[in-house]
Amino acid sequence: MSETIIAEKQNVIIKESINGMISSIKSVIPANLSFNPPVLIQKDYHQSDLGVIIGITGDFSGQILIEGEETAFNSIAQVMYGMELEGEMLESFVGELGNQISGHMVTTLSQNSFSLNISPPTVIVGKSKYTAFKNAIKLSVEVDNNRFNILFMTAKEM
Amino acid sequence: MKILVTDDAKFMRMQLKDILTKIGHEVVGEAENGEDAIHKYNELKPDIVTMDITMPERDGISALKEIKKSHPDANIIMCSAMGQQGMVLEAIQNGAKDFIVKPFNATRIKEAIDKFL
Repeated sequence: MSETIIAEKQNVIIKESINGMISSIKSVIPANLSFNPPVLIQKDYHQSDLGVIIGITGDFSGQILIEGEETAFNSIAQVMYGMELEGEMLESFVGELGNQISGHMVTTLSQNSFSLNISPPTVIVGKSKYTAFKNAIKLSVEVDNNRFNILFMTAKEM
Repeated sequence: MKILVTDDAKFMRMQLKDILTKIGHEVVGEAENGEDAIHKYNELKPDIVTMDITMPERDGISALKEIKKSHPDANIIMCSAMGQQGMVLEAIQNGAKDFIVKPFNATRIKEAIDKFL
């Protein structure tokens, strides 16, 4: 395959991944959600309180970061499981949320003949800076007046 | 029923334990990865195992194969966020008795467990 065809395929996968991600979030989080238009990020990214990283391999390689304030994740835990969480249990929930959202996205994309796999989640607690990517697409989601962000990070050109 | 719960997320183990206990079953052990599940299966001989797939150290499909190799009668229910057709097929072909896609609810868990009563 030529480099141009590979790059085009990457862009199709990224576009499909964002659509798959939106449908995945809607099916995993049973709440009124609003999605802001995706934006391209090409500089360092600073995480708020809490985040989870999931590695993606297969037709597309990169990482998904889901991050936000604790209050945003607590709102999500409240709508999904009807409970307030804190400390270790909130962190574990955030890891599982990352796993469920990414798992659903990969499942949706498999229906369009894309073959992707996900790694176990790594939870990152506290404000952090991410530098190990060339390009990222950020999708911001509002839930109950709280916002969380999803980034598709890749070392490849877009 | 004596049940072994396998999931790398403590939160999910808590959720499953809560649901299973409320519907009258006993969670005899918790495993946090596939390797742990194999050891705990041999040690506890549960009636049923719930098995996540994406886990560190050893994934759930590999643990399923290993447990079934030495215990062909083992009752293993996969419980994963990954629901691709190929993944479900691989699990069932390797002896999984059911495949629950997360997020789940108590009704779906009960339906899967009731098949063994």
